[in-house]
Amino acid sequence: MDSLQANAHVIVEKPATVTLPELEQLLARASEQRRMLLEDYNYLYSAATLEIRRLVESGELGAVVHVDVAICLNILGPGGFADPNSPHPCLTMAGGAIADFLPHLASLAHCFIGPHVRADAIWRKRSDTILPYDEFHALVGGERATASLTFSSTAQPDAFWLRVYGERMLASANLFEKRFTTERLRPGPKPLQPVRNGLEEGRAIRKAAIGTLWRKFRGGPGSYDGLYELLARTYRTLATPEARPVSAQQVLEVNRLVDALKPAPAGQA
Amino acid sequence: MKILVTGANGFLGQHVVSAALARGLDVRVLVRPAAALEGMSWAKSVDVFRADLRSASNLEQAFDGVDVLVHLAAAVTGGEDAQFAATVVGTERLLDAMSRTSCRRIVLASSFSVYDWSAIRGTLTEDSPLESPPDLYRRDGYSIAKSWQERVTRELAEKFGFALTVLRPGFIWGRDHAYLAALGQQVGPVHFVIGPMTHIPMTHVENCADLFVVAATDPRAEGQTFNVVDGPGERIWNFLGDYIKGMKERGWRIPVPYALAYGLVKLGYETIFRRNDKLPQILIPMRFESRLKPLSYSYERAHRVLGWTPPLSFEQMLQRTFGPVKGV
Repeated sequence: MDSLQANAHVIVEKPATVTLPELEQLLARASEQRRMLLEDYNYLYSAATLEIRRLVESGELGAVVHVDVAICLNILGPGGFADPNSPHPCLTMAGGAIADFLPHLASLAHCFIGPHVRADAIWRKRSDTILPYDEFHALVGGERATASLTFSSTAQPDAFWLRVYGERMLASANLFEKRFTTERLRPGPKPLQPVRNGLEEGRAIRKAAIGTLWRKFRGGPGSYDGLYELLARTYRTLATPEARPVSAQQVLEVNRLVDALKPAPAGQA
Repeated sequence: MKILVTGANGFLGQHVVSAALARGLDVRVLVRPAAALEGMSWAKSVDVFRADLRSASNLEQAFDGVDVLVHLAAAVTGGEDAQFAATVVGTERLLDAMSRTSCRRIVLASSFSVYDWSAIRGTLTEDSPLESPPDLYRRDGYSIAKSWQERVTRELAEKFGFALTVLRPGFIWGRDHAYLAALGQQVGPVHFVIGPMTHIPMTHVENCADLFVVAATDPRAEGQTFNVVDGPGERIWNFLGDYIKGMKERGWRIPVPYALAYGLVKLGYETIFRRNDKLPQILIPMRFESRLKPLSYSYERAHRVLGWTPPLSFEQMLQRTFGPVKGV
């Protein structure tokens, strides 16, 4: 708020605020000041996500039917969110540590299905840690399609799956790595389709596995490549009339979905 | 005499407490709120003060009646920021609290990792150069945190008038902690022994703990810095053999000349990996050297100033590490 007041454009790490009303205040102030308020949805600009968006926009994937976004990440270790000795600030938010990841899940879902019209979430706790929840599963109905969202602290190995089901193609990516594969309708005899898809998928997986290792050895942004791209586009926006990489309306709609997904405070139905 | 031991439930801390009790000292342990002490043989013989050094606001109370602080607490895992917060910020907060008490004596557990391994040739002594920025930031998170911890402790000791002793242990080993980073690179059952004839700067945890208690109780230790090793150290090849035999593992040792391995690591780092510091530790030249560089070591200063010699012989150390558990 102080930065906006000082007439600065603001890029803020997610979650920008703890509650939706606080975010609405920030957006209102940004609008008054005619400044940009951008929440960090870096995975929208990962190479694989950009490729899937290109497949959607070019029509190759067909209309999006459903999106599956799943983060499997062990956050149960004693040194981070689940530190029993010095409780992490995230634990004060509804949903606890998982609330820190909801903007990633929601922004990716929103990108492909539009604003939500309904959302139903299940919050669970499987581990013996101080986390209020360590599992989250939701179904979301959007204006254009549906989405299922998952955060699992116990499903392994660690991965960030984005699967977009289209009328002509399934595009699948692990955003923590370079893995990106597609399965598509192909001309020719139907029984051969799984064979051709499987061979192509196998090649892509092997190439991605080596590429991910090589990326680690060579350094650079790693799985944060989307953040570099997001920031580059943001600065270009300031210099040219290009569209903002994340609009104020988008931030508002993503946060409305995040708010709809959060668990009710204890004692409320 | 009453001592306050931080990090008391850690590998070294457990033994320091045992050694202090064996010498008849009163001991208070400072451990984190969720630390489990049930398995500690001394759990019922000490005062327990629970606090997290990163956030507790009542640290002064831990010093009630305490004559000497033995500060062992440090993070050995986690990212650089987490290690820095736990090790350096925790130390700053602890010593700030101590300044408001009557305790004026501190023994700090530093580390061999604070030395500038690239610059040292021949024999590493307490007067060897220390790693400093900017090269320090090419080291691992543990080394960065331990360097800053020692630096911060020295500054605060001078500011507040504490009598400080710094102990810098080499590789601390013992039961369940016998596989040392100096042993090279293991790939399945195959051990690539880099510089097989190199001596390891090692100290058995019971010997190391003994010197901590000696330093805490002997006024001649005030204002001194001591390296903690048990002697010149075993050769990597031999100790790995002892380890494989002791653990009853199947393993094969393949010797790799140090100069050859270092040359390849250096070449890869400067060319194809473009000085990427996120590589595995052994592929970064400065970290490679701090694990494996062939140097000489001794406990000469601890012996000269304090008359200290390691209480356990190497045979006893092997027995304590790989032999049957006492009382079972």
